[in-house]
Amino acid sequence: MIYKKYSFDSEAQAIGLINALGTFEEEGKVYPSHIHTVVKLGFLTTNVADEDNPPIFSDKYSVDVLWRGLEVDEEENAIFPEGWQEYEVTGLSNYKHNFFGLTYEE
Amino acid sequence: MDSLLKKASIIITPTAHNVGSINAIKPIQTIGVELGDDSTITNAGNAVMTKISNLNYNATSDGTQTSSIRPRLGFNNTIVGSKYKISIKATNKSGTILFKLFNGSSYVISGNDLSSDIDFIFTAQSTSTVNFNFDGREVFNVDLEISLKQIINADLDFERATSGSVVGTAQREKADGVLEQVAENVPRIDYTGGVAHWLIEPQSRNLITYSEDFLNSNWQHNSALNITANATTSPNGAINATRVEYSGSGSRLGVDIALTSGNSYTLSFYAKNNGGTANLNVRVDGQSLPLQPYTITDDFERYEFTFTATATATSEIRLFTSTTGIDAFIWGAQLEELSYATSYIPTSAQTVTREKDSFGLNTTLDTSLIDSTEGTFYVEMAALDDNQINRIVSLSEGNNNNTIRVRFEESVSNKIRIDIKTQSGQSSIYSTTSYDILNFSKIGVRFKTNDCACFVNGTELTASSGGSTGDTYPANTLTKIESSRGGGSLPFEGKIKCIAVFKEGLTDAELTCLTT
Repeated sequence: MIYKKYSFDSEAQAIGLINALGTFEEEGKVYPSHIHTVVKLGFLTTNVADEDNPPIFSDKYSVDVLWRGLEVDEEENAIFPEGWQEYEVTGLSNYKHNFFGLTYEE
Repeated sequence: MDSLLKKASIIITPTAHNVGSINAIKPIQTIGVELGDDSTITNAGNAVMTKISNLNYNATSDGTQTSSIRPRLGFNNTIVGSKYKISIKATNKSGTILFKLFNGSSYVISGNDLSSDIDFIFTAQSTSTVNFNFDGREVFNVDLEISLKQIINADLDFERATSGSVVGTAQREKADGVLEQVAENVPRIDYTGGVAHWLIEPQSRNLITYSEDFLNSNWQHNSALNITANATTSPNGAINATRVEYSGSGSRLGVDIALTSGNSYTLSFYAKNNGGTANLNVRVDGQSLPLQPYTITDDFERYEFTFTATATATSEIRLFTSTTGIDAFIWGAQLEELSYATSYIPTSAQTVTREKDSFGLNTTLDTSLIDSTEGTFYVEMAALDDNQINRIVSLSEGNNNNTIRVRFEESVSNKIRIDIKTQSGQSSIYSTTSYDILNFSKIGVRFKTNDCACFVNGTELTASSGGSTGDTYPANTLTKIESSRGGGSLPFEGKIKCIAVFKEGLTDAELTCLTT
């Protein structure tokens, strides 16, 4: 299981990659068929808002993923689904989301 | 009903569990691969065993041998402590046969004449070779067909990659009512309501940061409100509940959250009166929503408020507003983008996600546990919410081909639906809306050639399509139990008290009794 954070240029771009992980249709509805845990964080605030300071939202669409069962290459590095790696966020000094009981580490 | 459940080949109830597994109270035991053809023969003189083909041997002796344990066939691949089933069929017998089985430490069969077939279960001991042998001092001849297979204990694999909270405890012997945090991949036994059940929840995120730290600047309040951290014992048993107190008017406590128009949200928090006003109101600022009143008591209770956002905006979610004479303890605030509250997810500086719970059998059931051509599937389950989405527990082939699905169905309130779906195209559908799905329902499904039936809470359902006649499942196709439709999709969310599988199709009278 690998915990990664991503920042996309748009919501549509994120949704496109998430759907590409796998879906199936049953009785007219589309459901995910992959085993990864995806959290759509959306456009996060970049300031501390209060009554006098309205929130300012990032123009980036954030997504956190717990990857499961990824294949590995010859050097045992995980092979991520196509298109994701270029949007991975690194070098975070602080972040806005976590998973219950897990600690995010780059 | 208890005696009926004793007939089940698999019973899963909220009792035995471990990290990563939900265990059956009747151990699920499946049979492993054939090990009988990986063996070593040891002969002596004219006491000779000969391999004829993979699992077929001949043993013979002219009685001139002095050893009582030759000829011998030792198995090469047994594991100390593991359980095995050995099967031996003897034909073309003559003379005096004295067969012995050695488990690596002692003889567990001795002096058997192989007059009837052997089906024997034993545990490999010590490190010596597990073997069977004959008394070479006797004159005999016999042809043997042998089989040795490991008996594998199987459980339901349980997964939740994150921690989770549960009322009661993860420890099976306790039901103390305290909200406890359990580690990742530990199944949750929930004692809410006094009777234990497995808690299977969807993924959810607490959108409120500093969910227990109401002194944090994240929380906005009137300046006169006195906020005292760690003032009393909270629902998780620690002294970390916060006191909020002000005798005057205008007290409020809230947090800014970005909401999306049209989405459902549920606010939940724990509160307990400390001698102040009991009647409070939740308010969602910036949304066209009425105040939502609630009354706190002298005990900690969890208060839950579901609303649909009417505007895409950052709104102050106020746990109480415009209050006069407040003196109360609060703890554990949570806002989820769901139509109901799930178990508490504590937060600090970040929003936090709890992953969904899921389970599935970690092996394949075999005919010793279920004959797919006939049987009964029983589930006692309740929904967490009547939110009209598909939530399925299945007995299947591990995919969408041959499957029995027991589900709370989408789009219709309080709908329980059962599908008996076979790869050959037969699909019988039974459904009912007669029951409150938030209460536990007992659902029994009989599958048998031309004799399928479905009972819910003691009442037989009429099929809306298909019916009792038609195709049944091919042998060895119903091999998986999963908290999904088969193959992992359409995951179950809810509470489960029991899952059972019977090798036989229970009668109508038995199903009525079982589900009543």
